[in-house]
Amino acid sequence: MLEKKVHLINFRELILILIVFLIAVSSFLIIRIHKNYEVSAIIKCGDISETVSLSSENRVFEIDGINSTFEIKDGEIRIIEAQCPDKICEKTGYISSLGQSIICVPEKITVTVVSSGNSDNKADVTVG
Amino acid sequence: MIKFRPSIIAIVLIFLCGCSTSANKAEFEIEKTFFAMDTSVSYFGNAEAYDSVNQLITDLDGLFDRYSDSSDIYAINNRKKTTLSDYTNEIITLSNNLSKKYGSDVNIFSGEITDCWKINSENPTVPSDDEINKALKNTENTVFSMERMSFESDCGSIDLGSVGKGYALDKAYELLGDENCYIISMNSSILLSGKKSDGSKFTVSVRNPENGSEIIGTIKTDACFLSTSGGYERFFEADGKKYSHIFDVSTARPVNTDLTSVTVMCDSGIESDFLSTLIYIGGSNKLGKYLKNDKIKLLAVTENNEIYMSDGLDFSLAENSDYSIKVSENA
Repeated sequence: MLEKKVHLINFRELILILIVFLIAVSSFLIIRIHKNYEVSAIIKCGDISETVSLSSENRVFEIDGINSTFEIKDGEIRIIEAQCPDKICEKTGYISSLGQSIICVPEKITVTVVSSGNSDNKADVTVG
Repeated sequence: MIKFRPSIIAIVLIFLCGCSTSANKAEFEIEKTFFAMDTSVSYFGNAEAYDSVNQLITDLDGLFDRYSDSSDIYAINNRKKTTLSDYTNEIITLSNNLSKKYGSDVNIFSGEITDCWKINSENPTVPSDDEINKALKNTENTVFSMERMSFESDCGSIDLGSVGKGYALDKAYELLGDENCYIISMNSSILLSGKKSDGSKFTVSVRNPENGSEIIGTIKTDACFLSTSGGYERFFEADGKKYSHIFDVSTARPVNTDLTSVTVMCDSGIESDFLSTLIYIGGSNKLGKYLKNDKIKLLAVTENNEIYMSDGLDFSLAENSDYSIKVSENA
C-alpha cells in the first residue's frame, strides 16, 4: 500500500482551522468590547462583596448586611445615607473614575470603581 | 475516522493560546482590603504576602492606638509601667529625630491638643479659649525622656497620627522587600514597591482637595513612599465653620494654611508622612526649600488652585482641570 497523499491540508482540516480562527477572533473582540465599556463599583463590607454596574439605571439602593444607602446616578455612585458618626463617606460625594474609592472607616465599607478593561487613564492607586 | 496531522493540532493550540492571552493579565494577583489605623488598607500584590501584611499593620495599630487601653501609647500617656515593643521605641525615636531635623511644627507630643478638640467624638464642638490655652501650655511644658521612654512632666500626651501610617509602610517594606511588585495603600500614605511586569511606571491619581470625588491629576513614578496631607477630608463642622483635623502646635488651633493638599514622595514612609504634614502646615511661603530638596519630590496645591512641584516630577493635570502649574522658581 503505497498510497501517499501529499495534500498540505485537506477539506476537514481547513474547516477545523476556520472554526478555531473564528472562535479566536470573536472571543478576542468580545473581551475587548466588554472590557472597554464595563465600569462597575465593588462595594465591600466584611465578607460581603457586591459588584454593581455604573452604567445601569439611576437608582437608590441598599445591600443586605450593610448599614448604608447607595445611589447610582448618570454613571456615578455615592453613599447617601451612612450610619457612621463622621459622615466622611457621605462628604466624598459621587465617584466614577477608575481607581477612585469611597471609604467609611467606622462601618468598614469600601466602594471602589473598577473596570476589567485596559483603559489608558487607569491609575494604579489614588492618594489623598 | 477523522485523522489530524500533528501540524494541524499545533495550529489549533496556537490559536487557543492566543485566545487565552488576549484576556489582559492583571498586574496584581490579588487586591484585598482590611481596616487598621483609622483607615482602610489596600494590598495589591502576591496572594501569599497578604496575611503577613495584614498581621503586621494590625499589630502596629494595636501598639500605637492611643485610645486603646492595651496599647503601648496608652500606657505611656497614662504613665503606666510596661515593657514597650521595639516598634514603639523606634517610632518615637524616629519621630523625635524628624522634629529635630525639620522642625517641631509636627510633633508627636501634642496629643493634648487633639484631645482638647475632641475630633473623634460624635459631636465635636469648638473648645473655649481657656481649654485651648491650657492644652497649648501643657504641650509647651511637656518633658519626655528618650532614654526612659516616659514622660517626666505631669502634662503631655503622645499622638502618632502624623507618622504611624508611614512607619507601618516602612515596616511592611522591610518585611516584603522589593523583589516583587506590590502596592500597599493607606489612602493618605502609599508604598509602591518593585517594578511592574510591563516595565511601565506606577501611576498615582492625586485626589482633588476641593472635591474628594475628583482627581487633580496623575503622578507617574518608580517605586517610592508617597504621602498626602490636606485638611479637606477629615474635618468637622461646628457653628457653620469647617475645622481641619491638623493642628498648629504653636497655637493649639486647626492650622491656618493657604495650601489645600501636599504630596511628598521619598525613600522613607515615616519621612514622607511627616514632611507632607509639616509642609502643609508651613504654607506656600515655606515651600521654596522643600522644592529645592533633591531627596524628596513634592506636589503642593494652593487655595487659589495653583500647583507647585519639584523639578523632574512626572505629573499631568486631569482633563478640564481648574488648576494651573506654577514654575517652581516663583515659590
